[in-house]
Amino acid sequence: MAKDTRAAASATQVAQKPPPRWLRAVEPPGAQPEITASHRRVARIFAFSDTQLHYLLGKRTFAQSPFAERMSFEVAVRPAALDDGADLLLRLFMNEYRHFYRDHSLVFLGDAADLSCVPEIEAFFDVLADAGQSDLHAVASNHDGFYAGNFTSKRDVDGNLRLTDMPDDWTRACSAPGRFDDRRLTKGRAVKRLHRHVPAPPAAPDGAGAATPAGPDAAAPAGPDAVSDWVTQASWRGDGPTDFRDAYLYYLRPLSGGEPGAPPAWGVFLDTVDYRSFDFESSLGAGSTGSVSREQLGFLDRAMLDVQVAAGTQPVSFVVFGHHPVRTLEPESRERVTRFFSARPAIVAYVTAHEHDSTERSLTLDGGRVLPEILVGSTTDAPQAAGQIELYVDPRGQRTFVHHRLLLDADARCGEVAPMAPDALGYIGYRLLRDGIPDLDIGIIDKLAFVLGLDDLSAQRIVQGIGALLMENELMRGWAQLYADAPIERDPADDAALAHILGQRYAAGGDVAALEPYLLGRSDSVEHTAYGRWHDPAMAKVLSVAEHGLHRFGPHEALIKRLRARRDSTPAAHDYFLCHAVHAAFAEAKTPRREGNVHYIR
Amino acid sequence: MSTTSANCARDRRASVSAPQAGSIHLLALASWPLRAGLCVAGLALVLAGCNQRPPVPAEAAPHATIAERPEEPPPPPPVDLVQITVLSAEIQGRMANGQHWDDDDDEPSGTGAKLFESYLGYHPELVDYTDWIGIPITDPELPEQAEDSEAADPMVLIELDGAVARSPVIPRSFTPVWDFSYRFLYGQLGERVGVPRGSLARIHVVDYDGPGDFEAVGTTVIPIDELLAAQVHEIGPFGAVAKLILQVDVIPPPAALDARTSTRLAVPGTAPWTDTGIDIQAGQRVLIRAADEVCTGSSMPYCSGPEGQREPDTRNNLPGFLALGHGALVGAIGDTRFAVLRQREFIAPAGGRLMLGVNDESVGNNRGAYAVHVEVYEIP
Repeated sequence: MAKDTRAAASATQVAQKPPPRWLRAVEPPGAQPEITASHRRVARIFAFSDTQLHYLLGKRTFAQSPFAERMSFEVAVRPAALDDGADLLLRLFMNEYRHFYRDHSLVFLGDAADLSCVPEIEAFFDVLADAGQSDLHAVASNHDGFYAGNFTSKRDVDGNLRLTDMPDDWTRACSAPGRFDDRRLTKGRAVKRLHRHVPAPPAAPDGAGAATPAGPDAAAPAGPDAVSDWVTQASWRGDGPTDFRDAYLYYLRPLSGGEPGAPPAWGVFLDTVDYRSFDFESSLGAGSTGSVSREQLGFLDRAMLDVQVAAGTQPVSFVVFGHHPVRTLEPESRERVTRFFSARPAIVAYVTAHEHDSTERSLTLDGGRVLPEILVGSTTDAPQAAGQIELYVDPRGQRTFVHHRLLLDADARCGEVAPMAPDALGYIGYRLLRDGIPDLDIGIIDKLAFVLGLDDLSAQRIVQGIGALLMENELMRGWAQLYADAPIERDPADDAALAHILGQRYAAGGDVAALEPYLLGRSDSVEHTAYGRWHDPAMAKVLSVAEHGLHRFGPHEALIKRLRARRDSTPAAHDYFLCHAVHAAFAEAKTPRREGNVHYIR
Repeated sequence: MSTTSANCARDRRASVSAPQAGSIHLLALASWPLRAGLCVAGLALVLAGCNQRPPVPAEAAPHATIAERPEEPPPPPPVDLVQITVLSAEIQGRMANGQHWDDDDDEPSGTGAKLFESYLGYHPELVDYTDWIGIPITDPELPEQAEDSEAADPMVLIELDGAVARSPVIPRSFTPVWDFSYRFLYGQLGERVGVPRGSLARIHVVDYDGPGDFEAVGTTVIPIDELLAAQVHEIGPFGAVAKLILQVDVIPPPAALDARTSTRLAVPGTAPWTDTGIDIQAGQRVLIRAADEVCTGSSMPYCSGPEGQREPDTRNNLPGFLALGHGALVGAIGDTRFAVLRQREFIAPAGGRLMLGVNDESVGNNRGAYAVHVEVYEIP
């Protein structure tokens, strides 16, 4: 009996033992503000961002081509081990939040998805649900509602978005093999999904939300696909890929973590992919370039007034959150937002993300005031990080904050899991292929030819489409290597399938040259699969043939789902997949970045 | 009332009956028409010496009313919300030197300048707009009427423990009627500290000819406790003031420290001034917050929030606000102008109707409106 009691006590001790902390609080460079005993803490924030959960099974397209990967977006293609384990990294961050930062407001700064597919954002919310987290202060972002994070650089000259075959390209990327159903995470769908988790607003004080009679807020939304209250405007009317002007999400909510009796602090959550005021014809890069409309700032302006009025004489502090840093907003939005900050001394900081970099910048506002811009890194790309911000007010009403980067201690967490060998099937083996594929060059002459119907662009798209498939081939084999070595139980048939994938570099032959016959127009000799029937029309003739010679994720859907379900079968298995994701992220980050025309924007 | 202040009050009564009361600095008090206990005395010079004198025995005081009180008065309440209303006055036709009012071209006297500094020190919201003090937006020609008229242009200032409030200017009048109220917290209410009990009220009547350009008409000093003892007081003569009528009301303080009246309204960019319908009493605490946007100009409109556009527009800004951003939210209470911008909190420097406007003389081509929230606190 005594032994049983001791065992029970021991079990209790084990249960009560706090889990290890894997996030290390690191101060950014520079002097930190002094917090004295007279300061009162008014808010605590745990901010995370850019989980970029990737839907592997869809069709590879231009957005994941060597051109995109090399010339504009370095992480257009991520290592298979990282795409496979990004949700485990997110789970680590959520567990850390649950155990150590529970009294903080949980803020998500966007880019739950990668390609902008519904399965991606559902995977994101699955992780949060597993962590018991329903409420989330989330902002709209370019990967959650804009294909591959960037809707299009510009409308094609004929206005039909034919350059990247939008929006069908998006549909292909998000569909399951054999189907062509619409699982695009459009802006409207993203807003609807995110808004479901935004905490309910406090009751409106008397008179709050009253429209200014002559003010520009006549377009306040109403109806089943919109929400408008005194501190919220959300609309998901626009469900189609080009309807994003009718989809938006911005709001204010009180922040938690303040000491009892401390003055209130509120978060102002911007929608920086609000393209109502954005001129697509004269501006480039909707998505990677953010936008904030006048209508949005007008509403937030009035809502902040109502919040201050409701607080009476207490000094209200505001922290603004938005996906895009100010410098990545289009010029008019940049000017608009800077003025918005300048006119409101109660705004203490702007917390943002998008660049997958944990750092701080300074925004010089009108009148010389300097506003800190805090960038929160990515939970997926290395170095994986979140951000912790604590807000204080001194007896004179002066506001200040303390910011710590919460960096994943990769050595402590994953030191015992050896990384893959850096061979051709290592984490970034796919990158070796991209250098053999020419870049896409679209100049005025190309566009003119396109207008005249010569359609020179199609040849370039073919090259890039093949490049995307070649990279997928290597990613698939990297994934097979990851699971072939994994400490999980596998059926003999699965082992054989993995061995088959690993044993044949190209399904149709020994090297890239095996593709050459397909590129010469032998498509008639090959039977189209159901999955292959919906190629980009410009490339279909060639690619539907070429893909038969390459390994792809889609046809292996059953194998992938079966093996991925075993990632948590043992703690060792979980650590294995988590840590290979960590190693893969660091391997990807260590690749030298090109200078010049490379934009370090994700 | 504390013993010290009571003694000091008696002491001052003694001083006004002493021979030096005939000095130019001593404004004798001879009439007690409404209340025997009323104390009206003069000057800072006398006051400065007040605390240095030994207490005057009760029997030496010219009026034995206080000394003869049969019993100690009950302890004062912990706090009062007091409202002094300056009703009217009678002013002598000439200054002490025999000149007409406004005939004196001398620079503002040191006392007047110091008084004005004290006033601005308590009302920093006015510092940049002193040229427009005393000029009501509804009657901008009034100051011109006040100049070179040979008559006084009287204004009353009340000083209480560093706080200064003032009445409107009544141009060209020997019998001004102000009906001007000033409200203050007397004592301490919770964390809110008002004018300490036992303090003195200084009341200045001046001939106001512009910022800092004061001609002293008369100054008197009264213990607040004595003001509280009656509702109506007729004071005078002092200086060139033959008679000053005050009304004193004690208002029950509200239960809540932050009791206030809130008003939400729109200030359209197309109106020169918007009447808020809110009457403010000097001494009340006022908090104005604003949001939204007004665009000025038609062909190429410039838009801004209540803070105004980045650059002032000296050609089209309102008088008094030339250096302020064009389109900014501005305000006026009675004959006092000030900038509001996005937020302004202040102790009302004057009494009257609160008006709000957009800093633009040509409002016809504007669009938009500011959303404005005004809070007037019951306790200053």
